[in-house]
Amino acid sequence: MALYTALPLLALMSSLLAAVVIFLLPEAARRWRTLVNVAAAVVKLILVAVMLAGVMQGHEFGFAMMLAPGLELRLQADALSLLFITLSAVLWLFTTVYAIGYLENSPNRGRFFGYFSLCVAATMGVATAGNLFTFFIFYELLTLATYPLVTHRGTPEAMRGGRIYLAYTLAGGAALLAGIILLENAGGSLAFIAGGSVEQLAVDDPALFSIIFWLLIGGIGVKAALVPLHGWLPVAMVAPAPVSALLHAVAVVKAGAFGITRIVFDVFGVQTTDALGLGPVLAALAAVTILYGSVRALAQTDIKRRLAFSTVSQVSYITLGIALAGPVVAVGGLVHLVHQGLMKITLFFCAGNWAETLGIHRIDQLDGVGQRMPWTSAAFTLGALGMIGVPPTAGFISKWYLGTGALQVGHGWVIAVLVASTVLNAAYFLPVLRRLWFAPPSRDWEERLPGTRAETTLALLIPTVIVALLALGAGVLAGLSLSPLGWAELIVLREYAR
Amino acid sequence: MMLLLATGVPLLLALLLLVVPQSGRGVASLAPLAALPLLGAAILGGELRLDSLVLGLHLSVTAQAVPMLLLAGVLWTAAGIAARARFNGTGEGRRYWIFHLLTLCGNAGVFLAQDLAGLYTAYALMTFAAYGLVIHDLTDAALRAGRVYLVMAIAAEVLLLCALLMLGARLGNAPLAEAAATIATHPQANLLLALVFTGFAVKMGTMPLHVWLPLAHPQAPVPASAVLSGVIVKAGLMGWLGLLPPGEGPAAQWSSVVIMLGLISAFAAAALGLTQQRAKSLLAYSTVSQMGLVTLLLGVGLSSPEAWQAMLPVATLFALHHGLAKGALFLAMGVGVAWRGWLMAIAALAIAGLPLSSGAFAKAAAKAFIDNAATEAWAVMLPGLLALSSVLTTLLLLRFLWLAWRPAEPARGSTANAVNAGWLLAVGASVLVVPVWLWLQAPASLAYALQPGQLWSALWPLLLAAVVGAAGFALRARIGLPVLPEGDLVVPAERVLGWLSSHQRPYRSLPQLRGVTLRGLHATLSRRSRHIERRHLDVSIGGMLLMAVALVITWLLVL
Repeated sequence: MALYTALPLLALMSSLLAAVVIFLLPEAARRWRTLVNVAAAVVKLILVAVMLAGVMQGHEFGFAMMLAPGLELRLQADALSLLFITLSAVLWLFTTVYAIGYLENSPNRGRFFGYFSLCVAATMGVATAGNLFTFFIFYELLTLATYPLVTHRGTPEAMRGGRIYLAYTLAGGAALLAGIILLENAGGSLAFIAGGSVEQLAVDDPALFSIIFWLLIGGIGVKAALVPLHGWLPVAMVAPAPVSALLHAVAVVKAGAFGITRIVFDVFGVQTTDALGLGPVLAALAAVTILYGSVRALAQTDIKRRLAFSTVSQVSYITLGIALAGPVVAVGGLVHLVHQGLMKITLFFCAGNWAETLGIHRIDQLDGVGQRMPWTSAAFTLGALGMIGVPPTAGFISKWYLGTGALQVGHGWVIAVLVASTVLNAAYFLPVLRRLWFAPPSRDWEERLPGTRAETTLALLIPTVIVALLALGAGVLAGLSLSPLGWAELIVLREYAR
Repeated sequence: MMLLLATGVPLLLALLLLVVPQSGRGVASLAPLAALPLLGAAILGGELRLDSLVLGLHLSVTAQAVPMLLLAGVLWTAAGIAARARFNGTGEGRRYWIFHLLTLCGNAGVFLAQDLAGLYTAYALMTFAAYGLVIHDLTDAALRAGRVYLVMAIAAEVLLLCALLMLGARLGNAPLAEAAATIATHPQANLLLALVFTGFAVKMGTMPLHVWLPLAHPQAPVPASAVLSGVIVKAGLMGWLGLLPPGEGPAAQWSSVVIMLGLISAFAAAALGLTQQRAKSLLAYSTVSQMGLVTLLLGVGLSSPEAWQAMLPVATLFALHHGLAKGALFLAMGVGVAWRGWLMAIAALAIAGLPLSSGAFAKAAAKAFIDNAATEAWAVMLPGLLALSSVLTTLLLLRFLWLAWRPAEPARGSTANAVNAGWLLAVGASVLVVPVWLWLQAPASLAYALQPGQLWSALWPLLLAAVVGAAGFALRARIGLPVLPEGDLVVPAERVLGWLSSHQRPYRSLPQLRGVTLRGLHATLSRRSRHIERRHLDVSIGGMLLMAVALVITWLLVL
């Protein structure tokens, strides 16, 4: 029984253990490394599935350990954790397979996969953290574990990207720490409790708690790429495609968005955030980010850079939904946590496939690629239409809940932001689709890669197609109770039921 | 069951083509049949609820959908047969069929969907898939038409999205009827009405939102032109009928505006069509003009709930008649036989309203409806205006027959006979379906149209037009029509946009701006920040303007 309730710890350990084993394996042990990688991913997926079933039935999962008086390492799995865990566990499996295919024959794979597993272990910690202290530890660990991945290639550009990444995120971490210390000093509880726990304190000293709020949000907002803290994200796109997927979809920006959700839902509480007048300001910041990211994406000619700015924009949908105090709009924000992950990982996998198979990095090189690589291009099409929010893709479901929910709580201006974002997304994705499918190929590509019958190696292609189908399925089957939408509704029900 | 087949079969075939390229030949022989379940749905009716799809999909056959389903079933089948002949065994066929089938699926969904999200989903699928049909030939002209089409389509989608979100905020994913009733009592009823009307008006080609239509419809391959002009424009009508409040609340105040927009479209498009040099473009303008008449009927229907109920069968009958006849005319453009002119004349004169043709029945029903339902002022003016529009329409179609009587080039495709089969089906349907439909549904209306007085009032505009046309033809060397480009207003609009984009390129104007105003500021920033994101300041002027606009909107809305 104790083993059952400690499942969050086991899920975390499965990745941590994999990281240790991989670090110990010699570089040449390719088969063993692959086995450990995939086995860890599958085991974790199973553990997460068990937790998912448990949480749905109302079981509670938790593990706590006193590190020092007052400092408790606490892992727990509630509905919100599981939204994030499930996303990252599922996507980790595909990213692992993809990374194995992507890094075929490249040096330093042992280092790469070691940090890769460490990164996911940290993400598990962030997702299952039961208090701000635990959250902070894993949040920082995530930063440190990602740095070697960003700089993996070792080129001057990659080193620069890594340096900038570190500068931004460590500064953010410092702000977060300062916020946590101030909160503790002011007598607030660090524990994550649905509905928040600082209500009375915040009423007594609104100024102090506003400062704490912005320190916390500012610290976490770096990873969530809130303008003007987003600068690291477009620079970090020099990393290999699987790392981009990790940054943009599975772990890093998601940890930021998730952290903001925790602060608003479980530290301050939706009511308190709104009562302090912080929600609308955060929402406005998110709105600016949404528009700014899209406008910048328009001007990019590099595929991954355009996708990076698109992430800046799309992740703020989550923040927007969380910041406006309303159940339906919160569903929109939460469900976009999953939807954005599925769609963006699809797009980055596609960018990686093009780069690896045809050496394509710029948008103007994509002419006619749909004929050479139809599956990849079809996956990209699904992802891009989702980003625009064309029904019945997942992006439409997010938009529907954000828009209707915002109107219900009297924030009609959100519609204007959503509309502008839709138009901008169409403006920077549709021309890409036209090139893919309708432009004449600019040059002859070899029909097949040596040694494969498909358009590219199957280790790259299969994960790409599956995540694209998941992104489509999340929209088409949104009505199912186990869809991301159904789960987000469950979370909000529990948050607002209090 | 029929509803599942009607939407599912095209979708499955399209997916099969996408996933298994080798299936091309087999699917191509099945694809023309994919529209037949629509006829089954029209006859048998039915209802389908799929709660787990999207936000709860609800399909059902409403009374006003039946004529539309008949139209779609016949015309998509005819177009499918024509397309099969044209693309038989060619490599481009697969791409064509994928978009053909996806558009068909979306089209079926639009006619059947009964929930907000479902309608929007089907509408989007149809709109985006039809882009593939418009640009199928991949010529510069086709790509330009596609660009204009897409820009207008996205603008329309966005307007509809706003309306749907406003309705969804109150009702969730509500049934259309409930949403339409809610618009009437909504505090922002006029805004919602404007959004819904304008959003669907783009598809209907209501002036001045018609500019994409004379570009896009003629550029598509012949079978696609037929469904675009014949059925897909009617999706706009079905949107209006589904979502506009049935003559309630502030809708009545919109009646006159909509009537006038309809009249402007009917007359201006016919006049613009006369200046066209290509037969297909002229047909596209004729579609704008005829849809103007449907818009006019809608306008009369908006005036009261009773008028709305009376309008439904009349407007859909008109759409049925026009769709079949226009489809037959477009399909004729792909036929290479010398005698095609004679059969074209039948469909063309039906649109002009020749007595005993489908057009005469549709127009008689429209006239009777206007006599009964229109407010006094309009009831006095409209019959005369309608007769005048018949004169113009007849002139337009005479010019079309003159331009297109003989095939200019041999039809593409290996088996010309099969082209004829699809075309003949459309011609036959355009002659028979409307009278049979009336005979079954409204015998009184059929008898009314056959009264001598009605026959005469349908005939004299044609005779007048024949005289005018003959005179114009005799004097053509002296008067000479002006030649206007297809898409009329889009040409100056493109020029303005082109000028703007050539002068406002991102990165072109900004170095100066930075040099003048931001250099000092920039120098004071640490060297480091310049490294961090070298192009941080390179937001285009357009982007800044957009953000400024968004902020102003935000500010206004907050106030």
